[in-house]
Amino acid sequence: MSPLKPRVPNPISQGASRAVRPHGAAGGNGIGAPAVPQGKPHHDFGRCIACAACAVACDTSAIRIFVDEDEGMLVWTLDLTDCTWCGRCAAVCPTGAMGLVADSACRPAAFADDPEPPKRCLFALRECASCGRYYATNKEVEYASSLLEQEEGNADAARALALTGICPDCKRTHDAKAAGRRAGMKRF
Amino acid sequence: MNRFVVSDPSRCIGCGACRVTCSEAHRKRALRPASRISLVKTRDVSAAVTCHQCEGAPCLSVCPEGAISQEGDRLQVDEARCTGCLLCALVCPFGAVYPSAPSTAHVKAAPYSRASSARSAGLLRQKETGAYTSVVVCDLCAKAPDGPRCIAACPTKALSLMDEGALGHLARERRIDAIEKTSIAMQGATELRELLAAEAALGTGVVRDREDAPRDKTEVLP
Repeated sequence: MSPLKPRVPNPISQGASRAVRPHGAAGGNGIGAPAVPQGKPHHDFGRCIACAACAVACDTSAIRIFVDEDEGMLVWTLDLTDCTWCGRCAAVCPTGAMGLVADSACRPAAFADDPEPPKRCLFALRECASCGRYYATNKEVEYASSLLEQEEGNADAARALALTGICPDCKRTHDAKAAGRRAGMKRF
Repeated sequence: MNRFVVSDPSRCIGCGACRVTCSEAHRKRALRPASRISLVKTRDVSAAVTCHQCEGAPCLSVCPEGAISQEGDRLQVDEARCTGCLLCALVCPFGAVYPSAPSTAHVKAAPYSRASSARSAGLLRQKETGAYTSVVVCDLCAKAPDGPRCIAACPTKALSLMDEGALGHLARERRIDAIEKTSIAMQGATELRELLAAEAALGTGVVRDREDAPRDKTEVLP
């Protein structure tokens, strides 16, 4: 998790203007897809905030997340046997935790060649200060807070920073209640 | 100043017409068919919660891809750039950034996941499905020719567009309201003071003795 604000231009951002990213079953290497460096992915647990952008980008579900409510954990898994080396997980990662193995670019994309045990990472979930339900991982909330802290002299960012401990559902409810008070509604 | 849609909870009946219209209006214009407005219904209040179009938008400042931008007097999400990391949804002070799935999405990771559960909030559940590839925020129906569709669709006129003029008008109305209330209270106080002064001159003390003066009835008792 880097303290600096990552404004890393990535290939998907760059190529966004000419091609809309394919979703769902349309493969990452399909025709019309933007050119993204391909290769074998590796994952840096220290920088990962479990935002799940990689799980969303992964077409073959090699990267998945699960919520374990009993343990209060988010489970992040990477199974290289499903991986097609399309490289999109590295392109979308906001913190640079997903990267591509350096020497993999020159090798053919043979995914069953080197068997590796699936990687499994656990991230503690944060409970909403208002309703007590899990809404994000601790690391993600801390990362978002550190980004907001850099916005000095921004009143809206300061307000957002004060509210990062509350889940979006509760924020909506609070906003509706505030609107109700402004409208002078009484309890019936 | 950014314009934004406000809702009046005293008029809102919670019918959801704004939500339907919002997602339909965006679908027609090849944008994500997701509602940019949500409805909160509690025991005391029902209100539509909308994007406040913050001037120093926190969603914009945390976006790692630069997918959210300020366009004139509103915010805009570039749906092709958004990676669905949902940092913006996490930091929005009003919970007005919504994850959206493309209409052709199939749920990848947790096919039978619920929208939310007793122990985890909606945001986490939506992440788990792996289908929410982009966020949406209110863009004031920039592509529609005649302004936000939700305002036109609201059957009770609970939604309105707040711009600088409307905000000034509202502030003036509230000031006049406050002055009227104060003047009524002051008038009441003046009348009471006059009454007390008249009583003191007469020596009767009707007002003050009304409650604690002994009744005639008690005097006739032996």
